[in-house]
Amino acid sequence: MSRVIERYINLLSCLAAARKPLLIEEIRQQVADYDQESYETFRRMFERDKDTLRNMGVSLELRPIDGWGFEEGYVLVEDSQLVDAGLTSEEHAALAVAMQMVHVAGGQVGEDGLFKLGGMPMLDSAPPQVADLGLDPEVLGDVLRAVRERRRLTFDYRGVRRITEPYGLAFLRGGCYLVAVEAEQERPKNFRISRIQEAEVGTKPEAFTRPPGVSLRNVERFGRWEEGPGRIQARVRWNPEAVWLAARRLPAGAEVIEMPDGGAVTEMTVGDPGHFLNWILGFGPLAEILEPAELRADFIAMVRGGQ
Amino acid sequence: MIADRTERRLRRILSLLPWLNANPYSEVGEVVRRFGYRNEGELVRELWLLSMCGPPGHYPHEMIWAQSEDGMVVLEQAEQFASPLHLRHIEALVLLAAGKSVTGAQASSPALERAVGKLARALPGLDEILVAELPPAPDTALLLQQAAAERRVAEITYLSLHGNRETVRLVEPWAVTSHGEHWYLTAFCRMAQDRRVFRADRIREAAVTEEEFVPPDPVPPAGPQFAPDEDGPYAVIGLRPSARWAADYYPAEVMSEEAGEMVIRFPYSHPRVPARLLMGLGSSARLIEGDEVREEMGRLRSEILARYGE
Repeated sequence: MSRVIERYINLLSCLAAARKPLLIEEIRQQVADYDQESYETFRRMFERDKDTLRNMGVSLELRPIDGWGFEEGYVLVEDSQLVDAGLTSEEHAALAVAMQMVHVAGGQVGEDGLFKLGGMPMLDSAPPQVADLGLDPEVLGDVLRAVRERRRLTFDYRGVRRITEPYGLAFLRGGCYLVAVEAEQERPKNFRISRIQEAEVGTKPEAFTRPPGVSLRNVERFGRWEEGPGRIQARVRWNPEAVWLAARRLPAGAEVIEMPDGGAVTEMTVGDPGHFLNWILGFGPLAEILEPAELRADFIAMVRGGQ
Repeated sequence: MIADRTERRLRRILSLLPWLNANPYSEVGEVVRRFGYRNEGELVRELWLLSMCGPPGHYPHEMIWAQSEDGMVVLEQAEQFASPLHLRHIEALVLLAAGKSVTGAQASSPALERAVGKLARALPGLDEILVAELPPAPDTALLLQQAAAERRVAEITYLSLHGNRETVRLVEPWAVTSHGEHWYLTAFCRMAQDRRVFRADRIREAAVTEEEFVPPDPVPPAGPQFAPDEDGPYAVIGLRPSARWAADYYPAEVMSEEAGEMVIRFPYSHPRVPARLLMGLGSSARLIEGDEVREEMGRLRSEILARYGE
């Protein structure tokens, strides 16, 4: 194995030291381990080595040796598809902390990337993991490629095959979404990346234009009862245990009247009665809608359900 | 292709050399740990091997000079390995997503913000196609995170919306983590004498005590246990089109989907969660399977109706 490692390091050194593209014969002469008797054997080994290095982001490419262009030799080129982050060691360490706190796509992909940039830095104390965004690296890779190169992305989602124009990725409110517009539709939708199956990236790059000003932040927020077209003045009575929790969620300007038993009555403007009833339901018997009578009746009807 | 082991070793060398170039005279111990060598001997052998390499001709003054001297790693004549390996797109994306998530939270630092800025610029267009934020953490979550890091017992005042009551408990905080939209404390609860998961926004007050505790090793998984493949309790729920959002909001598994109805398997830690969901969804959902949930719905219904004097 040492011999193999030596061969790679010598090959890279030899190409880096040369001031001009190197003919394949020159490479064969200059790198000790390429001294096979048969040219074919050498050639196979050289091609394999090139592939291995390309996997690591180092490419050997053919370039003309002189202005005539009759002969071509190899030079080392940095793969233009790859990203040079240029981080300082302090920035590298800060990123290592972030990676430990938030796991994305299983952690391995990020660790590989971080390692390339300078190993795993020593941290004063191991930061706790606070979120795991999950995700399959393969699916994420396909989605990313389609979004960046503006290729169509076709996939199975909840049992339906969808053809989409993918606009972006939103890792918001604990969910990981692809923001994409489906064929024949106007408004982009959010697709949970974890539910995307059988993804196929389109062959044509720049197959569509991303409309300017498309927002990646339209992730639905549940339970925002204060938002919405309604202007219903509601009064709710709270048990003492629940007052603080309700108060935390009240919009500015909501009135709170404390009661002698430690409970409270609050008055607030409801924009979306559906969300509001669900919010109140979350408190079980610790809350009671006092007014308006219709809202109270709607709530009771909801609780009775199909009874 | 060469063997995996060789490829890993080569990758490590190609990460090591640029770092050593940028960080001359680093301590041997640090290099060993940072690059995952088993021990000093393994690193020294690696350096020895590198010293056999160099440009053609192998003139001594051109060969790579790599060895450990007085506890430091010395590397010379390896300028050809000055720039670090570049990142694949997905590596850049994953690092940027983790970085962005944390910069929005309280654990951000100027160095992290710079790193995020550089990553975002390094791959043109990446910044515009990615937003990443953790849900905002309540103050109590940050305090309890600190307690978990210091392994100190905390006293929390918690409102259980399953049991409709507030309790004060001593807990040994193991982890504070975000799942979906919410933050959770996972702890050993001394009142329950068992592992408990608390929603951080329902902790009214938290105080860190002087008392230290020893966490279990390994610490059990944190957060609400609703992984769909678990053996825990679950309900089977049918959703009409207007209620399908519930399949995304909760970590449920879609069992079947037809035009009129989607059927999901809904794992729960407490039956009140699906009970409340079903009650809230009204006629747009139905419980197909789950006796415990049906009973819980009955209980919740009579509690609330009693409150309303019905």
